[in-house]
Amino acid sequence: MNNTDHTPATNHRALPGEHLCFRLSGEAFAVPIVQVREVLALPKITAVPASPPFINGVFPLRGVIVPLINLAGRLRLAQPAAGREACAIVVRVERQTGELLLALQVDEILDVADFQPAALAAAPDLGTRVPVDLMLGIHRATDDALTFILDLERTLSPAEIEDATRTASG
Amino acid sequence: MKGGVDAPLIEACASQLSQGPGGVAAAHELRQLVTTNADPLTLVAAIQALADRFRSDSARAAPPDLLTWDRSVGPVVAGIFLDEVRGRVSEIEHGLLILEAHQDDRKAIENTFRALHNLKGEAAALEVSSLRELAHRAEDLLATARTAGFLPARHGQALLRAVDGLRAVIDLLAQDAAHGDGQPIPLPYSWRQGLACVQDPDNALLEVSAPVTPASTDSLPVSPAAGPRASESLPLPGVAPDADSLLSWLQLQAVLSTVRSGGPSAHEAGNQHHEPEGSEAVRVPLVRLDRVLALIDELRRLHPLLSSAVPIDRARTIGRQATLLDRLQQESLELRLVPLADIFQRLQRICRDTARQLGKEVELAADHGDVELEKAVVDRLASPLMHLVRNAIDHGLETDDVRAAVGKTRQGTITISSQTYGNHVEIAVSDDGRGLDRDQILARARARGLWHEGQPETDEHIHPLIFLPGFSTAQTVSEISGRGVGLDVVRTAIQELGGAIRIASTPGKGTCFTLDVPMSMVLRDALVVTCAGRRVVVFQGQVQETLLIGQVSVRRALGDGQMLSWRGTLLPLIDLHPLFEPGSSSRSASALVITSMGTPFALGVDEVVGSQRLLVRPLGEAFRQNRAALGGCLLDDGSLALVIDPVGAMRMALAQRHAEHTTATHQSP
Repeated sequence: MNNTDHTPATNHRALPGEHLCFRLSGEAFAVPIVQVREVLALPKITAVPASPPFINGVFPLRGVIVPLINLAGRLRLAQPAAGREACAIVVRVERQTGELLLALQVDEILDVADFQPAALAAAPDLGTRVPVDLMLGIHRATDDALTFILDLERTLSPAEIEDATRTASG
Repeated sequence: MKGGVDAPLIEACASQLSQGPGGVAAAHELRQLVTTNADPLTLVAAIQALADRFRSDSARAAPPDLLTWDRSVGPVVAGIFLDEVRGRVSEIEHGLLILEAHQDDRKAIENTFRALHNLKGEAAALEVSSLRELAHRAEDLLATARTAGFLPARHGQALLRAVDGLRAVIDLLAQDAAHGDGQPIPLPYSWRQGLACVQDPDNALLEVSAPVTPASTDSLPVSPAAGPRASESLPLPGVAPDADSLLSWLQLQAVLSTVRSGGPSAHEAGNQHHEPEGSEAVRVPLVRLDRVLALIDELRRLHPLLSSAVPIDRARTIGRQATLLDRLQQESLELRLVPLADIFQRLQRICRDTARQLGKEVELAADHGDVELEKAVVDRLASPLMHLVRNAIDHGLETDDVRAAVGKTRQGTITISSQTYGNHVEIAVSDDGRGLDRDQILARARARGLWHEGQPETDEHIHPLIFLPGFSTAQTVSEISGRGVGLDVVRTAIQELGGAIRIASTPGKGTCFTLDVPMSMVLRDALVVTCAGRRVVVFQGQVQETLLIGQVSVRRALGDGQMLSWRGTLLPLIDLHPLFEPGSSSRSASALVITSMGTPFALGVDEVVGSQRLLVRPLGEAFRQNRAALGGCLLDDGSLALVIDPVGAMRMALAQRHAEHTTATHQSP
């Protein structure tokens, strides 16, 4: 239903369609549902020494080792302790290497929403610590509730991960 | 017909010529030349001029110096292609090396020809015009040998240069497929050189750094002016075997091949990216796939029995299922194996080239013993083995004269043998040369400060010095080795595989390097240990011995440092705890002695749980830079244990402690 073509005509990169919405540090975020593989209860993880600060650890998922990303840390948001609603969203990210599985630790799953084109806009640069280029755009609901749509490819880009790893192990 | 250039042949060539782009005019000119030039020598010169012009025309039309290929194919197709063409090139090289020894081996000619032909077809399928063109011209050159029934040595050498060119293009393509960004890539020099060699084997400089051998008797005439010579020449169909006609024929062949290959098509470079691992491919014999399928089939048929009402049937079924699953795992892992023979073939070539360059007579006796290894291991073994062979020829073997003087055969022998032991493979590279010079090594090590005075001056302590970085005992820096990098690189490569390298040498008799590598990077014999409340895995091949710290003496050194005495030597004992729990200072109860890599040391852990054969899974790209964690293993209870690299972990634990000390110093100045 969706493809990953960015639409240069508008000034945001978000595409209309179904999104999985979740809560993180008290705010609403969303990822395109086509990129979501499954949602898990927070798994038991194995910590890896000298990991980048936003990788909590790794866990096995049907034979594949998947890193659990501390999404709040990556987005430089405040990190509340993981509550009972905390879970992991396993997402697919396209790489030259093929498809990569990553799990995002979030505070709570909200719902699946169908975003209409008219409600989408570019994410404004608010001068916050959250890098604005990690957002595909924002969705503004009829009640003015804002949902930030994450650009997973950028948020979890190999350069970012490798740089962080190198710093951590150097 | 005087001079031997026959009109029907020219006519045949001309009509073929006219079918290529821009060939009609050339064909017309060719026909004109035949009618206007009565003198064969003038005719040959004219044809040569025409050929040159035509060649440069086609070169201008499409600059062929960029790597072009169909980037739109997926990584899987590219991987299969690379695997296939690499196999082809090995086949070709193998055939040529046989032909070098027996130039009239018709079977080898046929096999090589077929391999070249197939390579050409495969290259065309992926639109790798550079590869196709080179294969095509090589095929043309070999075609003359096919007709003649033997391959002149010079042509053989030219074809070997072409093999180098083919290989260089394939390597470049592999890189482009893995990391390319769609930017045009210039073709390697060896491609151009290979092309020049096969196009004009009689004039091309075949061995760059080889001393020019006294005019080889079996080479073909060098120029028309040289005239007929008492030499072996190719009896060609419809042509009298005389030098002039031969040259013109070859010249035409060259022209024709330019026309037929049509020059590289300017291919639209796609922006598709491919990756290294995902595009790796392995050729699997059907028998093996069938065995896997048979096992799956049997497991399937067992499945209904699991719901049997009779408990004993269920128990039996579960037991049977476990056995089948083990076998299935083993069979599936074997799908990844490739024969070691693949590299041995390349080693023959390296040996030949190196020996020629150094002017030594060397025989390489290689016995691969049908050993099979995982492709990843074979790939990583290639360069260390090549290095060892070069090293043996350059440093190990004496010159022919010295050998004769000490009563050895003039021809040196390098023996490579291999054998499988359980889950690992031992490969021994030995030479019958002068052996290691203990005194010289010791003197060199002292001069470079690599020798710790007080160590016993035994072979076990002295020989491994040659593996140290920057150590080189070559008295003259030669082309082949002796640049001061060398054996340390070999050792590092073997260690990265989780293997070890040993050395044994007898003065005057020779030197033997033994590589011990795991058969698979995936299924490994591993030690499970506990540290800071978690289980950690270390590859068994990397651990020399496990010790209970209570039973050996550990002494404090430099404040909070620890040294452990082991077999008469003192080893630094590095506690692994800080790696997992920064700041922790628990006492290790057990130690792993690591001697296979550089300076021996002991790694402190809590407890050694046991050894197990485990399936290692990659941690993924997020941890590619991590030097301490090599992968993960699922243990029996379903938990995930990290596989650590002892050296990486040791360095990281040390860095952790250094960092703590620095902070401590800053806090309390």
